[in-house]
Amino acid sequence: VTKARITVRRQDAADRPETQRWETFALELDAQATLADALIAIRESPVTESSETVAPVAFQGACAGDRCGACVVLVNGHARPACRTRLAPMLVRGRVKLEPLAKLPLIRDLWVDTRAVSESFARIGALLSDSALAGAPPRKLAAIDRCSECGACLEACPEWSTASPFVGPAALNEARLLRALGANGEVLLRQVMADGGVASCAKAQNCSVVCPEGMPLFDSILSLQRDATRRWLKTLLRR
Amino acid sequence: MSMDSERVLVLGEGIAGQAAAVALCERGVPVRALALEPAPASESVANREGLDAALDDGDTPEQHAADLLALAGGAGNEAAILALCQAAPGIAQRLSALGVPFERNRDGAFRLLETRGSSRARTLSVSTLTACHVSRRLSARMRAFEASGELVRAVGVELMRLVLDDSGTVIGVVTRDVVTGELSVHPANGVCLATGGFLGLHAADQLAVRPLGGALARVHRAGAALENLSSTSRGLGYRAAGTVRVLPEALVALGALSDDETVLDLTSAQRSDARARAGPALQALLESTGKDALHEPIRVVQVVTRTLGGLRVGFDPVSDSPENMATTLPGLYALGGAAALVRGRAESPGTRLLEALDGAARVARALASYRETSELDRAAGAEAALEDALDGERARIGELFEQAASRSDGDTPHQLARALATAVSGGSAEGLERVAERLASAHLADGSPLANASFRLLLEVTDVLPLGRAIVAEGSP
Repeated sequence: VTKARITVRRQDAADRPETQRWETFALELDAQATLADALIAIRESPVTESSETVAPVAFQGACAGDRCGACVVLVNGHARPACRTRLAPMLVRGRVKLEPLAKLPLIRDLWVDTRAVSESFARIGALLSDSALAGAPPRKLAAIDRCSECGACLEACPEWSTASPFVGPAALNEARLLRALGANGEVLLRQVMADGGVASCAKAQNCSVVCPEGMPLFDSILSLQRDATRRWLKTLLRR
Repeated sequence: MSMDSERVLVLGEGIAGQAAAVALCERGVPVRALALEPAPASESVANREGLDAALDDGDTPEQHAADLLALAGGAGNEAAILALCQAAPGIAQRLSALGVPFERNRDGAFRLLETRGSSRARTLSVSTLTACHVSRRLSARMRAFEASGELVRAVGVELMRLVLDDSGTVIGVVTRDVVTGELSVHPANGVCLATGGFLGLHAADQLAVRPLGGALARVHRAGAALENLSSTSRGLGYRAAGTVRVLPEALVALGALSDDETVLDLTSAQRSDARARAGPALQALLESTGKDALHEPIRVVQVVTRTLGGLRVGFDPVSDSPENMATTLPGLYALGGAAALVRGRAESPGTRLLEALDGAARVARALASYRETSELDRAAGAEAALEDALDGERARIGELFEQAASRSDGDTPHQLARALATAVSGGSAEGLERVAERLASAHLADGSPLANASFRLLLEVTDVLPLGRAIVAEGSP
């Protein structure tokens, strides 16, 4: 049995910052329990440490199958998927702190709007068009074909924000994948070289560390940078 | 008529909804895709099964269909099953062209795995993430159509009500934003329902509260007929802490069942074998009842683990017929888990994905034909009907919210959802009546309509209750 005090940052809506507050729930769960189990227990019986019944904590995460990426939250300040993170190792003196991802627009409590991720794919033109389909990616690229659009890499990236021109690691990874799939590679490369593309990466490499799917995101950025440099040299020589 | 009222509405964003949206856009039909959850969180994407297709040397779609029919125990539409099996190899090729990295043999041919209920190997997969990869490619295609404006997409909204015109044709839907609670009305020239089945209604053993089938219940209320509700999978369960949990088949197979099927004796089973096959289930049993099933016989109950039925949809061998996948309401189409077309008494793993993808191709052709024949300038009353539906729904939901928010004790919607699932799984009509009574005194912990998950669930339980009654009435042996 794990005894845990779970402190959750709550806010009723994005436009109601005055409702921001911390609430602590004391739970007893089995030793194998994950953070998602804890959040489900809180949802079913939303009673705080001081025996006050409060509104159930809103959080995303419907797959319950460890793969949808919707439940990524800040656990003691680090972006982690709640469904795959065991509660016990996260406890610091019996306590764990949960917050919503800070850089994505808040909807409520731990629930954020992750549409920015798929919008970033569109911004760099990483779109799968009919004109250029060439089948499955090479086997060695299977590792980058796992994005669940959770937003963890954007949270960890020091360069990305909703206001910055940088498209972020997820979109660049998708661009590399689509190039490997044969989708309009030249157009993609031009976009990748444009403002907000690979040149905006400051090489902090946080993305590869936090990705819940373990994708080598920074490798994708480097690979695109190599391709971009090669292309630039070619055009230089042709002149 | 504005562009908006010419769009086809696709509701739901699992594999079926995504594939339908893509197939419609590819036919040049403008689409509005609305979903409660984004694709990665949907039930069909979390499904770890593969895709079955008769691709092996000497294997034929006819053989595939015969195997499925045998599994279905005679239920299910024979012609539809054959058409599904004939479409399967093409669907596999198309997905491969879209970039789904199906596992292959050294010679480059698809690697086929052994399939349950068949002597042949015909399951294609990408480890256990086949559905996930298919969904990712469909998402990428959707984004491309979204960028070009052919597709308009929104998530975080759920269907509350269908809007019908005087002739009974579906002309739009009323949806509710789960974040703000706001209702909106969307006119449509054709509605395609891909909201899945009612898995949550039988998920008494699940940790998470799953969708209960609210969308199905709401279109049923509008008059769409259901089918095959009596076609249920049954299993054994046990009672613990007021709910019914399902025992895995592997565990049941190890024990001896008493003649009246109320006691399961596992005490003579090989212990190491039992632990290897069903360790987690034994552990759960021990934790929830305090009994070790390997040391003492346990009391069990018959439970419904799944209802395979859904909306009645048409099948026409002519692929362009607007009757394909059409429900009994003109203008409303259904596919995937929401439709009861090829499901019989058992569901073969490997056909769920196939059913969704084949259904999407059919629905796109049928809707394209439907739109050619549907009245472009509909009755002048259409606008008024849409507004009336919105006002009616607003009043109904407002009243429910007022009542629930004014109470300070009673059950929470989560407790009620669980009680509903328990009653349906246990096939207990009295249990359902108790849920109905408790529903009248349900209370919300949270009095704010913003992103109020408990109120959402309360609405769903309220709307699904009649469906639960129908399942229990038809499903009892």
